Amino acid sequence: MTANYWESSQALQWKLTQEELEENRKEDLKYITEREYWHLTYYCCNVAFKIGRTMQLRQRIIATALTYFKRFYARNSYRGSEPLLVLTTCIYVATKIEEYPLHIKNVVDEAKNVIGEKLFKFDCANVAEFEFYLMEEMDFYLIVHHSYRTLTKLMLDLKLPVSSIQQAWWITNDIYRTDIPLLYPPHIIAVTIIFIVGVLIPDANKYKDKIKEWFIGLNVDMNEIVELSQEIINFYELWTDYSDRNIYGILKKLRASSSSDNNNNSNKIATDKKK
Amino acid sequence: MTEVINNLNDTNTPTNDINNDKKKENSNKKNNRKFVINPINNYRKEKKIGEGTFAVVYEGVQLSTGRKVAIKKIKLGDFKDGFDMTAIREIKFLQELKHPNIIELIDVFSNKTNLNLVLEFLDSDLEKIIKAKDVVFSVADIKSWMLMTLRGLYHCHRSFILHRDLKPNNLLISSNGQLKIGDFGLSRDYGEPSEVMTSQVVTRWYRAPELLFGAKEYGYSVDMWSVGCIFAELMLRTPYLPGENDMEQLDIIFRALGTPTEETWPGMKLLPVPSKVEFSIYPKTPWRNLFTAAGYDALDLLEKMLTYNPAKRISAQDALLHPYFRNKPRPTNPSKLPHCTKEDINNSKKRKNLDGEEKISKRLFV
Ligand SMILES: Nc1ncnc2c1ncn2[C@@H]1O[C@H](COP(=O)(O)OP(=O)(O)OP(=O)(O)O)[C@@H](O)[C@H]1O
Repeated sequence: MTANYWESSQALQWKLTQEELEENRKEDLKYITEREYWHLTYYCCNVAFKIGRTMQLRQRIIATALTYFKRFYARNSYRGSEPLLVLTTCIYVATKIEEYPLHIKNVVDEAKNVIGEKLFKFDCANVAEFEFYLMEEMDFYLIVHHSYRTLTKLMLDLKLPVSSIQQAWWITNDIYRTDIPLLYPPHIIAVTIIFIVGVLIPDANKYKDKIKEWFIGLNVDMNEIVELSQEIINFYELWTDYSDRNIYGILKKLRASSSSDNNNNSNKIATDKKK
Repeated sequence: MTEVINNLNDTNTPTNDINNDKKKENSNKKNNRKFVINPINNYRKEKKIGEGTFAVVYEGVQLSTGRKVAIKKIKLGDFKDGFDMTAIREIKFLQELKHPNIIELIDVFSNKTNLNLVLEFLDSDLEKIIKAKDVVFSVADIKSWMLMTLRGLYHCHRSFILHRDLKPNNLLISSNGQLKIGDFGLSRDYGEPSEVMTSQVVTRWYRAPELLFGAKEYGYSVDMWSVGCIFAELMLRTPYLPGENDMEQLDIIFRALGTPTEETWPGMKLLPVPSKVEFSIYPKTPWRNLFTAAGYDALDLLEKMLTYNPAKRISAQDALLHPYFRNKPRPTNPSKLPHCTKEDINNSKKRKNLDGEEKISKRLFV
């Protein structure tokens, strides 16, 4: 991995801990269960991937957008914000940052199309206005490093079969549904994915020694790799159980009023600022 | 050699401190969000000091510290599409690139419809200094400006960022003589060499030949060509390759450096422009008569920067390791460099370089 990752804002400002994320999540968990929290997150990520597909955006743009989304919700609650407005704005800002600027109207129309008018009640002005607050919530740190480039390079070096490359690519995309991109450096993610696909290769024996040798040559902490692969496997368990049928119900529960509301104003920035 | 590298590292130390401070600030911000000073109220705009294509620039004060700042108000433009790409790029890159030789982005704030970038106040730039006829500078001064330019640029390149608009006007100078690269409105992150990008970048006189040839795949070497042009301009006190249009630009380059051939630049014929156009053949104009005061080491470095073949052109890192920076004279300490501000030009106030040695008279270079 490039030496400069360690000097990047991603490493210095935006590498978070599990505890920080859990602390921030407490507010939402007063209204919904943890499982519901993740289902809403997965729903939003699915929407992003769908918009990416229909608008033929590079994978990198959606990866950046979802990293922004996760960063925003590392500091805000779903309850205090409009997740679908946040998501759409993340995609819009990511197209600019990844040098693929689109008209705001195209992005908003596509979001409306994918999400449906019942849930998506926003227009271009809302997104344009929210753009600044999104960037501000990220302290204007907008450059995101991803694991795709390292992964491709490593896969080519190792000459793994095409089927594994495809599999690795899928896992890399799936990881953006989780908190993993906020918790681990991109090169650790890339190496871990190779570790996982290495195990899954059909005629694994042919590659086993090569991969083993390669891992020994790498200067990485194997414990971290094992820990992360466990997290990825845990994600897939949650993921198989996912369905988007409940989304409307989850959003409704989040909006329910509560007596403790008055104490929670600080979490409402997103909606307040919108006004 | 190690000295230059060490200096490189030195310049990085403050970066980490800044980041750590910021980090602390952020975690405070997380907890006491409500009590953070409203950034709009933390700055006072004083007077307008300049206007560019995309922005109006004001002098201002950061009220919490009393620090003098420049406030760059981005013009509305097509606000219906959110913030302008140039503004977005400036924020994106300046926020990432903290370095003593890159302009500091202090803050960003918005009041309803416009975006304001709060930048460190830099009252001069290299173009003003080059143009100030009564300011005399020495070879040691030039070396100092080159060193600072390359350190800032090396930091961009090692962070995978192409500047794409280097010119004397974008090399800003602080009151204590530090040179800082500014204006990242055309910059890009640069990943794979095969990435397709527009060749319509860089102000013409500083534009690398591959861009003039319409190349869509290019790299860090385009910035190094610009640095070469700036180096020559510092020695000549006048732009080295001032073309009136793109075709004339090529002609001027060829007259100065000799027309490139498949031998000096393999692959040239495959680029869009040369595949269609026949160029006049010129020999290289000898440099000795032009750069009379320059040492051999300076001309060797200049030649490596103004190399046609982008793959052979020297990198920022290698340029910093070039003997030129180790040989005598030592680069002038930034605080002792000749300086000139807008006011100086307006009042045509004379400033003399206090360093008595090695003066280069402009007349030598006509
Ligand atoms: N950090 C700064 N400190 C002091 N003055 C500044 C600063 N930045 C810009 N200025 C002044 O404001 C003017 C306009 O700057 P700006 O960067 O917007 O445009 P430019 O680069 O000169 O032109 P263009 O945007 O058309 O390329 C500059 O010429 C300079 O005089």
